[in-house]
Amino acid sequence: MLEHLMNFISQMGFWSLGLPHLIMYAIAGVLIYLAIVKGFEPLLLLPIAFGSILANLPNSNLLIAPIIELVNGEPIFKEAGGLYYWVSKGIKLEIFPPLIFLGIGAMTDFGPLLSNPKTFLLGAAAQFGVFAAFIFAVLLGFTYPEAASIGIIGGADGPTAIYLTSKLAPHLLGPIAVAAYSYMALVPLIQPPIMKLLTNDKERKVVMPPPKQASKRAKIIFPIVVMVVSILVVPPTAPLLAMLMGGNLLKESGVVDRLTKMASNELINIVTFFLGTAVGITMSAETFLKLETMGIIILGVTAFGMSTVGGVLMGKLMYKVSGGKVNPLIGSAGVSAVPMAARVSHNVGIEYNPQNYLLMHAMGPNVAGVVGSAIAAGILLAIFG
Amino acid sequence: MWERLGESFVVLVVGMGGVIGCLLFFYLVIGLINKVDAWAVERQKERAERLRNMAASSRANKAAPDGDEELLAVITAAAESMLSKQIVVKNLRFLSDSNPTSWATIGRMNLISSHNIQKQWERSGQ
Repeated sequence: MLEHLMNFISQMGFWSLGLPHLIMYAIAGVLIYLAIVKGFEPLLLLPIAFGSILANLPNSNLLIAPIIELVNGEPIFKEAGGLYYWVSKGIKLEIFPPLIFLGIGAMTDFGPLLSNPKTFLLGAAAQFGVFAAFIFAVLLGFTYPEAASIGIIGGADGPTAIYLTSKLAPHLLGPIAVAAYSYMALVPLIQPPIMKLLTNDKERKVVMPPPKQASKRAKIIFPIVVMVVSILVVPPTAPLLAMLMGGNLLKESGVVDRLTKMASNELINIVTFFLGTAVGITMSAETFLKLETMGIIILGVTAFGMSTVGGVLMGKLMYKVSGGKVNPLIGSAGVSAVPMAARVSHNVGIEYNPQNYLLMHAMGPNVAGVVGSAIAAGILLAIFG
Repeated sequence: MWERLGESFVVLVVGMGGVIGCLLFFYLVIGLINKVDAWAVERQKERAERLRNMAASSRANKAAPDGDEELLAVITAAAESMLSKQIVVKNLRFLSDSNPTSWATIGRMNLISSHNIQKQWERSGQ
């Protein structure tokens, strides 16, 4: 009996706890604080933090692989494997990020973009940070696939960053996902100084007339055209853009209300929890507490900043070309991060002109950024995948 | 190091070129769809205007007796305008002796136009 008791005590996780685990608990605590108290991207940061605690509980066996034996050519499970060994397959097998995109598509209104298609260019220019951060990461000694995964943080699109990283640099999944979602939450702090630095008072005060209503015909043709063209040009982007545009087609068709609700509520909620915790569980102390994590955090904010610069500079160019009709502040919304980045453009705009209502104008580049970052990810995947 | 930097710039150029190229294409396609929509709306407005004019002329002539040459000419002109070809009115019959409201007249015109007279005309080979 005493032997069993000693065996039980020796199996406790306490004996394996070390300083790295405690540091990881502290990091998880910070993420939980940001999610609950500050309200920063709680839907993702909270599950990620929860998953990172799970990952650093010694002997929890949540991630152990199953033991399979072949008996007469038939696979027999000797050990079923840890719960999160299987849940993590949702990322490894490219299931979760595309399903999240299906939900995003079903929730996204491309109307502001369709009524002012010029704002596509802002969404394209805002992908500059992705490739600029890629160059910086290469200079810091990261491999090309690692640098591409770090660069995509600049796209400010969590599922895209997770999708690309899981394919190119799965060992960096934890730090990149945390950096991507943290910076998306910090958009209201990161972007305004850059926007103010690059624009003058006159430009910030430009009032844009209310956008026209996009027709139903355009709203239905748009997802089909984008899906077909994007996948023909950049095939690796197919899972993301097919789901994004499929979800949007469900919404705009107006005839499959139940499917639209399923994609934009139940499905995305369930997948978000499992995606978040599966990412969090990759944040074990051994993989996360490295110097390169610090490099990723710094490069991430650089990518974000450069994307904002790209968008605002394109906004300034459009301001000049249009004879002062485009407010360059909407350019910063090209970094996806829907709808936070659009709100930031609007809020900075009303600081200088309380009558200026930029939100709907900024939603155009904002949703263009979602498409742009998925295409950027597809290009990086095509080159390095 | 310089070699890696050079290759990275190639990735920058190809990547940004690809993203801008794709989104520029979408911009052009959506611009085209918007133009087609604007044209369709314009056509719809013109049709509605024509229907209003026809209704107005019908009201103006409603008191005219059967067989009135002027009324026949107006109805023939309206029908020709609608079908964009020459026609011969063989028969003319008032649907109701009561005084229809303008809403009822417009509704009747919409009903008539929804039957796609032009195509039916073409199908019948007349």
